[in-house]
Amino acid sequence: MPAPEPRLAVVSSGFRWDDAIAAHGRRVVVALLARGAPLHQAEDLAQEAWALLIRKEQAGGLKTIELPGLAVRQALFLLQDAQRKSTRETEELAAAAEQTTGLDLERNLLSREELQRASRALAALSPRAKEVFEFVYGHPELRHEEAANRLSISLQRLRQTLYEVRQRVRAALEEAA
Amino acid sequence: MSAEHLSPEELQSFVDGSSDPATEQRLSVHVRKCSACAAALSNAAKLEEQLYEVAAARGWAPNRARTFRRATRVLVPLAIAASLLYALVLRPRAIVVNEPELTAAAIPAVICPDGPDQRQCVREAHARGLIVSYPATASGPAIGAATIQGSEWSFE
Repeated sequence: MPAPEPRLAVVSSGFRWDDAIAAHGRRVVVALLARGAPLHQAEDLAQEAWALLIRKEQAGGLKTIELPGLAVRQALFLLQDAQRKSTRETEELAAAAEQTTGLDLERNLLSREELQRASRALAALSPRAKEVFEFVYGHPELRHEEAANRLSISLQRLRQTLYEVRQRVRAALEEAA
Repeated sequence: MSAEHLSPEELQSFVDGSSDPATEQRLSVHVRKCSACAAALSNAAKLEEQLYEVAAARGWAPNRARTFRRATRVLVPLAIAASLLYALVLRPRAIVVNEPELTAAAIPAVICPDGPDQRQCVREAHARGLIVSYPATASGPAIGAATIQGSEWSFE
């Protein structure tokens, strides 16, 4: 008797969701972590977000798939929904009314002043460091190995440069705080 | 709480998704038990998202989409145009409009069975970039299954 066929999902449109998830899956989780979701919740919500998008796309409900933005927005919506439900469940309705009206998970994480400080810190970087930062954060779909290859530098050099960039930006933001 | 906390490099590798699956699993397990590391991970994630915001503000288009438009939006008009051209110019006695033929692709989604090992199954599937579905929500024949042998999960 032949072994049963693996029961895998099929997308009729030809869009490679597995590639998309491999390229952007971590970014979605990180976006949720950055908004205060614990890891287990971030991973669950990210999975749910991808599953929703896949189902919607299979049903013909997505004309355009822009990533990672679409997946991040879907996941943030789910987080917002979960936080609202959680707030209701604790029956702190009076306090929640104030909190939920101001709840906007898609808001920017940086204030205008922080953004200016971070931009100034980046402007002080060496041209090469700026190039690395611009390339890596301008191509979120690329893994570091590929980015380093395209920039013709070693992976270690790329990570060291990003480490220095993060240190500078973090210091600038802490000054602002 | 764990006595030994994750290093900044380990936290950053988790944010980057640059660890190998075994390390990823170790970090993930640790963060779930260690509130200090969970907070540090949240901070690292926040900085990462802030950097994307900075890059976007500087016009580096970090959120530039890898955009996929449904093939029908482009291919159907092209197919119609080609068919009309063929029908009117090359073979004026018939007009044939063909829908574009679309290719299929597999999604690596798996069912993690209910039970005490379900969370572990989900974590391992996540580490491999797989979509997870749960028995209660799985529907239709479209989802693969996960099985456990000893402490190792395998995914169809």
